[in-house]
Amino acid sequence: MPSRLLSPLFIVLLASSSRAAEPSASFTNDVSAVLSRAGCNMGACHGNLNGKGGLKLSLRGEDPAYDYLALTRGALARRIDPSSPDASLVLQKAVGRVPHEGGVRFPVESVEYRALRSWIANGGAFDSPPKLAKLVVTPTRQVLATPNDSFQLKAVAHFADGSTRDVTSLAAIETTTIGVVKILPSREVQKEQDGETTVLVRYLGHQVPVRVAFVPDGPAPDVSVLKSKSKIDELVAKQLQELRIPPSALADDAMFLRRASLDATGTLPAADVVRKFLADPSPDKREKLIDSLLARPEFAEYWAMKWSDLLRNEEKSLDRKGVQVYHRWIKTWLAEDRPLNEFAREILAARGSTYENPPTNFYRAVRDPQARAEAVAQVFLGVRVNCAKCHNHPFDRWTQDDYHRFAAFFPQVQYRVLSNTRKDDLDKHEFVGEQIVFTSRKGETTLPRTGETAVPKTLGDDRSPAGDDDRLIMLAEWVASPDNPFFAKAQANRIWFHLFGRGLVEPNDDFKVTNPASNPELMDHLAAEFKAGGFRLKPLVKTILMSRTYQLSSSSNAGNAGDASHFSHAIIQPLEAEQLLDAMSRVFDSNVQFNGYPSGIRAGAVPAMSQAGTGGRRGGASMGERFLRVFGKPERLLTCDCERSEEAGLLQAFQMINGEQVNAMLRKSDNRIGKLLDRGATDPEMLDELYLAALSRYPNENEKSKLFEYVKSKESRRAAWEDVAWGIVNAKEFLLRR
Amino acid sequence: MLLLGQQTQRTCQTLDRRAFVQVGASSVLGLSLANLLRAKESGLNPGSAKAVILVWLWGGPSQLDTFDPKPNAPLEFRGPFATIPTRIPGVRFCELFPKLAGVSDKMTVLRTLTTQSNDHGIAGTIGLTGSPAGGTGLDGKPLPGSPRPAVGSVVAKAFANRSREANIASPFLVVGGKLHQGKKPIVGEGGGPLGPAYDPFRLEYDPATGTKVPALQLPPELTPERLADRQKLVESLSITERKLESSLAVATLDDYRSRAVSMLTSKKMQGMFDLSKESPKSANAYGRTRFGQSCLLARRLVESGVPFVQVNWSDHVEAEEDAGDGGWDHHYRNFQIMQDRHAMWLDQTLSALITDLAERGLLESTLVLAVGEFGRDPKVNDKAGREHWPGCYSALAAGGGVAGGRVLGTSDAKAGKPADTPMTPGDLAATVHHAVGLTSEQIAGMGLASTGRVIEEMFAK
Repeated sequence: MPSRLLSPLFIVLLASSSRAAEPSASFTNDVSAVLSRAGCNMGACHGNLNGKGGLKLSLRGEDPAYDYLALTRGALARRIDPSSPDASLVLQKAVGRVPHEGGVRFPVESVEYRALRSWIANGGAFDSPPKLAKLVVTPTRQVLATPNDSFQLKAVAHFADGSTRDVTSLAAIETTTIGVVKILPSREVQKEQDGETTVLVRYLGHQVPVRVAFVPDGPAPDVSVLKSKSKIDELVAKQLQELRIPPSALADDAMFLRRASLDATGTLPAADVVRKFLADPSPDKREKLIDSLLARPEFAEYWAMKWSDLLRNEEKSLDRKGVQVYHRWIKTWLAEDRPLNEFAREILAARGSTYENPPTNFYRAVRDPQARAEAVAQVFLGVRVNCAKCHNHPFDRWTQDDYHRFAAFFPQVQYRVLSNTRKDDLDKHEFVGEQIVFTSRKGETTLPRTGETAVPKTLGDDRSPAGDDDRLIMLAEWVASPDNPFFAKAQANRIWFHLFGRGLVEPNDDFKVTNPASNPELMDHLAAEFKAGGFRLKPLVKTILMSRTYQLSSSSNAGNAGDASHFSHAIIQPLEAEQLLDAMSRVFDSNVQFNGYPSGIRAGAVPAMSQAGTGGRRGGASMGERFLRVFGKPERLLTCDCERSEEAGLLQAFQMINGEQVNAMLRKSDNRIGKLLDRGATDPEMLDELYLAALSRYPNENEKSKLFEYVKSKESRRAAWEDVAWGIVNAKEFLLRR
Repeated sequence: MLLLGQQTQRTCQTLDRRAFVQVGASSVLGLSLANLLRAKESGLNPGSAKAVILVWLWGGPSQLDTFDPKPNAPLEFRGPFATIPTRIPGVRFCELFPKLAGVSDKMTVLRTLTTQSNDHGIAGTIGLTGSPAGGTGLDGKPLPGSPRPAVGSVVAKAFANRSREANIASPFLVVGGKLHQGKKPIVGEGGGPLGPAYDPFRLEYDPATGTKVPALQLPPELTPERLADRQKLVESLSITERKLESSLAVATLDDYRSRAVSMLTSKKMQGMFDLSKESPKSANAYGRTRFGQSCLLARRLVESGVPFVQVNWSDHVEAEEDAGDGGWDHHYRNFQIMQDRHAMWLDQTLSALITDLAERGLLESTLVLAVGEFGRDPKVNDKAGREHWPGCYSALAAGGGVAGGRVLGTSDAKAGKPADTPMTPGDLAATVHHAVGLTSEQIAGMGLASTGRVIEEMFAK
């Protein structure tokens, strides 16, 4: 048995520690760390709620005292054997001498083995060393160009007593992407292929992300296309140069017009608008267009739809009148461009009738304290705290107590239904009728860990309402305060996400330590800009749309085709369900029916889908409603932008090819085709009209000759033009936002 | 290939569709991440099953009157039926299943499944997805969490590329209508967080009219010739169409469009669904019932390369309330219905399916799993029926590497609770994924947590 004084680990410790010599590895600072490093306590293994193979450890080592008991007292204390350390079950299993479902976790010659063995050989005691105060990792950002293909990571722990220790060899280091880099035993980061990723360094519950990029060597790319007065362009260009990604060219007028109209208002530009815009020679026509888009009623309708998705504005819980007053309130707020932090304040502090005071609908749509806490964090703060409901958040700083104390703002929020005339008697979650939201004096939640009453506390900066304070008002003030650490970033990132199809932080509502922004400087700048603009939507939208970055083409080049997160080219996306249906309605000049709403209302302007087609005595869904469901319109059951699905599928293809909605619009006798034929339009006139309405451009010569030839080859002119129109709405150029 | 910003997102309970889109991005374009994953995982557990047929016995069959009879229990528990021996020593089935007893050497009988709810809505979601998340019971209250994808949707996602190469309709087909409780559709029959792209493609078989594919119905004015004309028009345009950027959105759109068009226009494609191409002998062997012919269709689909087919016994439960056939939800007249219809049909069809697959050499590569959402109350009620029972129920599995002539789990004296080895639908879901060679890493790659324990004892060693 080798002497513990000769243990190589011990020598490393002596050499790198500024503390006094230690007699053995510490359970809390060494053993706990190497259990994480070896992956023993991850969720898929012994960190699982039920443990694995009879051994349960706390998830990612969040509770060393628990793990200590499991290792020293569990399984009839067979797991460690201080008299014969190498025979300890925990070591035998880990090195594979005894069958282990999790395989060989580490060899005998390893940091893990030495730490565990040293601790066991010294009696396997529990200790309470000074707490870890800070983990300093160097570097935290590294960009290397070929031929450089590796660099060394270093992690230094700073403890509460002021001591420090090099914990590079003890920390768990993980990659977040497969195939870009690997971590060598020497704690070097080694390139596997060019690309960018984040490496996480974790030690005793602290994690530090390290942004890493390996790029091909070569001259810095030409970024002159991004030369402008915009700070956005400056920051994007800086990053693209650093990463050697050449930006695409500027989008042409037609592409820009269609994209900006869809992104700002959810609708296609009318044929006349296209004609004027394309013919306008003035250099500031893009700015004029942006200003006109922001002033349109469709702008407020479109952004109200996005907010309605997030705030769960749906009929089953809020009833038809409820969704309408709520939608109108949101829409008016956005049309008047009032500050979004005030918007949040109004919602969070709201009490009273759901008909008279629309923002109260928030507490009606989201009904229990935990769901409210999760929704407020996700929607207004861009933070997903859900994981911390059951255990400390494994990839962020939130503890289970943080979660339940944040939820403690809400248990006193109550509601009373004045009269419920629900249509489905069995469905206790359907409400029809006016409701009153109020706060009662009673109602507390408890902390699951201790069973104590949970005292409300804000996230991150730990503020609690004073004894008699109204909890909701205190929370609302905190969220709306210009100093709130989360709000501006979260909202700026969401606006960016809606305009680019991808957030700087992605998913856009998942800000956390381990998910840094793809361009942190730009993220900070946007948040500052949003705040400086008084938290208003329109100025930030205008700033972004005016940037050259937004106006880049979606055509990629050889150097940027693989870039998905640095905005070197526009992201191509399928039209959203409502955008698509409204676009078709415009191309065919044919209205769509929605249950409960007058003919002529756009899909994007409907406050909320009716409950038709969902059972009970609710009647059947209309053709338009069925179409929207197939194309992924969210049911508004989650307070998350991610509920909207944009993935293409076979059923969507069938909807466009032989679907009832497309067919009905094509066949309608007085649709655009019918009207044009009736007034004796020539073939070129017909084609121009269809192209301008659908694709925001004129047909080119090739298209003209092909299509005219087709029309002439058919007996029925009407049928031929139906075929052409079908072809246009089935073209990729129509179905995609570019 | 430069991989920029394609970080996989880690989530805990909340699944995130966008994260899937990013993961999917590389696989659809066939780019390096997928290839890399493949390269990294080559040599890992290929899985002996290439296809799965899930025979979904909606409504919940009685365990006592099928594969776990209790002849020694008091009459009000054991019911009126006798038992018969099977080819598994010491294992007896209810006397109504002689043909299945005859092929029991090809199957593993699971007798100790338990689920968490006695509500069709919730147990249905658990059975289909392996998790109660999002399941909605009679009270209309969805359980916490967003619904997990159906077992078939996960297989569909994993095999999306393979299916594309085989040029088949969709990797996940369901024969039968949407499952309901009352008028409420059951949560979990689709892609859920994987997106509608992994929803099943639905076929319906009706003895009177043959196979019906709802999505393939053409409006009256749209003849196949005219559709072909239109398609040619679009294709001729797309040659001259301004060069569109290659991207995920473009690639998937093209892919699904061309598949949809070929399904609408290609006779060969439609032949997959055409049961008139089967010999009368086959058709008779399966039984000329909706269920029988649906299973025959399932075999046809598997033969043409579809990786996951689900056959729904019926769409509705609670026959008395729904005026549907009520599936296996025998609150009333259980013994009469079993004897006159359900047992006879299931016995004939399922045994024919197993035999047919074996004769065609497909059983080794096809996992057949027959199970419902729960079992039935061991105690007979006053209407000669049995109520819902989540505590203990049975399933049959055959093929795809599953051991023959094996029984797993023993229930207590009245088949009310497992006496040993309790198993859950989550375990069953994990086992199906295991059988087709999906590793837990691959499942995690889709952003999904494991639903349970792989029942390794089911597989021949």
